[in-house]
Amino acid sequence: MLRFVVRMVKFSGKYKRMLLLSFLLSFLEGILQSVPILCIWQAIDGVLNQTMNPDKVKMISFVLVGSLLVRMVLRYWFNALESGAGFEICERERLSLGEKLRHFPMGFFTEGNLGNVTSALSIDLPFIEEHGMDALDKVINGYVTSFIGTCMLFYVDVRIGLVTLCTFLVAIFLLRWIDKISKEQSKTRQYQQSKLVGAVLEYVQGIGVIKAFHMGEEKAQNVTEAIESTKEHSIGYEEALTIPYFIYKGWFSVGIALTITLSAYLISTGQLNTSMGIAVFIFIFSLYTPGIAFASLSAQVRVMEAGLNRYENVSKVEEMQEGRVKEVRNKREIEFKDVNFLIEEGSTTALVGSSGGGKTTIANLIVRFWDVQKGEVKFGGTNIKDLKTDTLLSQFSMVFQNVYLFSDTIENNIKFGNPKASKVQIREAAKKARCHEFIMELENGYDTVVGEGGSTLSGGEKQRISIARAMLKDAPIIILDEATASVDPDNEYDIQMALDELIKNKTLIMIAHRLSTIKNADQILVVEEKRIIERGTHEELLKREGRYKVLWDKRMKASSWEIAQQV
Amino acid sequence: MKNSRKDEFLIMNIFKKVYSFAEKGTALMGRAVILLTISTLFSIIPYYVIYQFIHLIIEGKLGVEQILTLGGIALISLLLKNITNEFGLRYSHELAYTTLMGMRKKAAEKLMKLSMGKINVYGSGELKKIFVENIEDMELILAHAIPEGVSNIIGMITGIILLFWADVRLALLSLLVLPIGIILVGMMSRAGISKLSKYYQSSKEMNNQIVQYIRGMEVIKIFTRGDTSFSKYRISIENYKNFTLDWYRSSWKYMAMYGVVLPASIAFVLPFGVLFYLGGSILLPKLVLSFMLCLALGPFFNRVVMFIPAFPNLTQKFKRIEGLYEEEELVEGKQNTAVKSADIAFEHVTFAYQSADVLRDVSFQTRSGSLIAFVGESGAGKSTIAKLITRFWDVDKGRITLGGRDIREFSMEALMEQISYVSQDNFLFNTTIMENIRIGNPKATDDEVIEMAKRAKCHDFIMGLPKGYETEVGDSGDRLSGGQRQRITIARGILKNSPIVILDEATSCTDAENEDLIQEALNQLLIGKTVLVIAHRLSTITKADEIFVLDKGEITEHGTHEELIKKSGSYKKMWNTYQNASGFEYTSKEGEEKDVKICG
Repeated sequence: MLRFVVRMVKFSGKYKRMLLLSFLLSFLEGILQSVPILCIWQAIDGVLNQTMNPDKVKMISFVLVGSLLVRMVLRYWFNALESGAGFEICERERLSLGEKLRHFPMGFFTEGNLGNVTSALSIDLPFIEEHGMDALDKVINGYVTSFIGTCMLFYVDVRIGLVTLCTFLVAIFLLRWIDKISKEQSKTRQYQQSKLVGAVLEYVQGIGVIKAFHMGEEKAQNVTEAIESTKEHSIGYEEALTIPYFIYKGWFSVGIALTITLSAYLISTGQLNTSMGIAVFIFIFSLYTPGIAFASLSAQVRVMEAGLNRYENVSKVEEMQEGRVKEVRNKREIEFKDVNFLIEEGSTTALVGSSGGGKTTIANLIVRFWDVQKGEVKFGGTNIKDLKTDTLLSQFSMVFQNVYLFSDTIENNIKFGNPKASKVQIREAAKKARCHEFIMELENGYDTVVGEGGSTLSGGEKQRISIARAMLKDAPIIILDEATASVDPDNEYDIQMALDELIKNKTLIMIAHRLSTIKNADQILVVEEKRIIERGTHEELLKREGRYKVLWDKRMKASSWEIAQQV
Repeated sequence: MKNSRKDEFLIMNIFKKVYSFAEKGTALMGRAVILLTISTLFSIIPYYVIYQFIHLIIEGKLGVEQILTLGGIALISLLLKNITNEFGLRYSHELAYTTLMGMRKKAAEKLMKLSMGKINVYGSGELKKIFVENIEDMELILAHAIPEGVSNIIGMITGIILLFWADVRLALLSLLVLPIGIILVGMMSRAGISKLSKYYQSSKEMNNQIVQYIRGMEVIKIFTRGDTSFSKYRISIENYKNFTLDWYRSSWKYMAMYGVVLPASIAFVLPFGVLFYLGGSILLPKLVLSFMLCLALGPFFNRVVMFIPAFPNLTQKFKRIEGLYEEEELVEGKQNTAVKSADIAFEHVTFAYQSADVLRDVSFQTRSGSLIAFVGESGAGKSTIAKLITRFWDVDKGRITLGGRDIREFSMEALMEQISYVSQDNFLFNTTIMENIRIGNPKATDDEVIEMAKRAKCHDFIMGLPKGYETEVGDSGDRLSGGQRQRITIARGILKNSPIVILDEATSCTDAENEDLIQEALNQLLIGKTVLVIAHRLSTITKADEIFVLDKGEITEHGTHEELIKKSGSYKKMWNTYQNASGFEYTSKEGEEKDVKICG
């Protein structure tokens, strides 16, 4: 737990002071919580010595009520500082991670990592921001008040102090033991949780197949088993800790009972002042409260540590080095060295080959979604690593796998391509991209808000909006993945028309499937097993009777498929 | 007054409803509440012990024997308090987890009874969230709020009774903090309410922006809009912090006040107690006992007040799940026997989805063994026809018959026996390829499975895998490519061998890489079946026995390809557009001829 304290204080950075001040205030508030006990002690003392009178009562009440008022102020103050610091820290982290994300290689953004980053930002940080500082406070002040309480008891009577000290020392050992058990238990519990998620996902994603092949019983059994074993493990977790918790808390009870008995004995033998003894009776019940709370606190701390780990893993990813060159000096030609090829300005290059052969990788390397390990990619004669990322990317438009639209109006989504575009230009682009018509049919036209990821539009409609967006950008080079560019066969024609507009007079690099586009390419690169195995124009390659010929024939066959049943 | 009574009733209702998911819930609840209550009662005994100590001290009768006896009583009661508390909590957790299990099981059963249409509206992500997160979210309240709430109330009442026994006046004084605390809590929630909605709003907005910023990073980079997008992200994060702190700030002062006041009945009891003592109306032991009880009651008061928000909280959390339980179920027929013929007929079918008509008065018939195609613009209702036959949705008017019988009269099992629906749903289970194909017919031998795999053109790639047919395919088949998954699902379909095949072309040929293999596999699946094709590429269906042209939910034309071309209607127009789109001159007439041989 102390490790957690150190880690959190480090994490807080420049808010360290604010945090420490809040802990100090909270500590003072904690000390003042003992005022009632002191007042009781004073009152009883007065009563026993028969020095009590209404004036003294008044004074005690003043002190009591005064301490309450001061505590209210302190509480308000440290709450404000503590939560304030928590939120400031997490805001700072969110912003710094957000800034870093811009410089991560695009290849980092796989489905799994997307989930991790999102959870780190929207689950882990909120948990830390809401509970972190409070837990930290409880840990620190738990230790401090326990320590001071013990000292006070030593002052009252060394023997009572020793009993208390022993209680705490043994408790520290017990706490370690509990920590170990619950760590092991929470591992199996986590594993169980992921099994449940797996089973549930298979069930809900496969429900269509389950129903079509009436596998209901079998698959329902799978998910039921996972559900049941989740219950068993969760209860197992509680069960495994029942006895340890009992021993831990029971140990404090032993401490309390011993202290009471000892004090009673000391009073009865005259070794301890009666009023002081009574005060010890009362005090001992509150002394161990923070210590007892440590048992459940340690579980919370573990959750936070796991969250911090995940967060730090994500933010540790290495950023890409930015180049400094801000202008494109020469012709916009792209040159690969080692995997050697050159794409001239204004030309059309088609990448063909089996899936997994490396076509998409080539496209990704050109725009530096990844960095090459060996060799160089040159743009206009400059190594792209030396170019400023924005300068490089401003030269490209990509029509690619994921059509991502923001949950904003259609107009703003198109305008994303060029923030300076006028309404007229936006409509112009939309018309060229063949989306003006369907946009006008929507109730709010260009002001229609699309859902996150563009979910309220059909695949083909989203695709055409993304083409309009690319058109507004008007970058000189287009990278096009044809297979995924036509996600919706119903709209194939419209999409192709839109694409034809987009690629007019541009340098075109495409991962090609359509026969006509391949045929007319200036340069065809056949990519297989991470190599360019053939290159040339359509005619040249057909004559060679190599891999390209095989691919071409296959595609010819597929495009003229007819459904017919054999009887 | 009447209203609050009703609220109370509702509160008990929600707990009854929630706990009804737990088998033996009442027994567990009983055990938990009894143990936790005993625990609270035990926790009060040491105070009585101290009372006795003081009593004896003052009378000067405290001897070693009494010290040991009383000390022993204190120790035993404290240990009993601990053990009953731990076991009470253990049972309350068992109750909570059993409840969660009951909810999850019910949700799993519910899914089996819903139509696929409804399930797809939820989407697998949302369903997973209900199953796992939303249900898990109730654990804390279920395990702690009720059993501990009840025991706390009982503890509080016992403490107060004891206090009344010690001194009625002091007891009444000690209760003064309750109304003050409750008023403060009320003021806090009133002050927070206006800020609360802003907080929720900004929190939602921030999460939205985070997701968009991360998911949209590719687009942001390509359009070099990092700065503007980041500033949007930044603003949402700053707003979230500001609105949250604003809300907290409004609560802090009340929190600080009631947090201090609620456990502070001693502030009233101490001065008056001493005055009463000076006046001679209370003795010292009872006075000290009153003091201790006041201190002991503080945490009880706090927890009881904290307990109040658990009710609306639970109601809100349960609501999210309840929606699923209350969805209307698909009514299955009882007819279990096979049909005589695989004829499908639509009789004046009308279907609306979300109040917009999708199909209007559609009628057609198919003969067993014929090839029927549906064409039309996107949104014309082609895919809906497939979905109605497989009962994703039920028709609003008219009926659909299979072998002359309304499809709603069949059990789903009997209906699905007759139909193979080839769509994008090329879902594979996380098991071996062999088992994934065998799903089509659990009784098939290994040899039969391999035979089907050969016909579906997946034998070769399967044999290329290190473990062949015993290869595990990973979660939803993610170790295989889309085209490979597609062919395995086709093999499964061939093995199932149902007389009717519905083929949604839009989604069944998504992998351009292996298109030719998928097509050959499909041809194998279609041999000798009644085939309904939802067609997108007109070239694929020129051989159909009948083509239906749909326009805005109505059938406008039908006939063979040749007949329709002659008509020069909308089909002719589509055919021309299509030929333009496919872009290449049909120079390769031979290719087409060749292909006919392959297909049939």
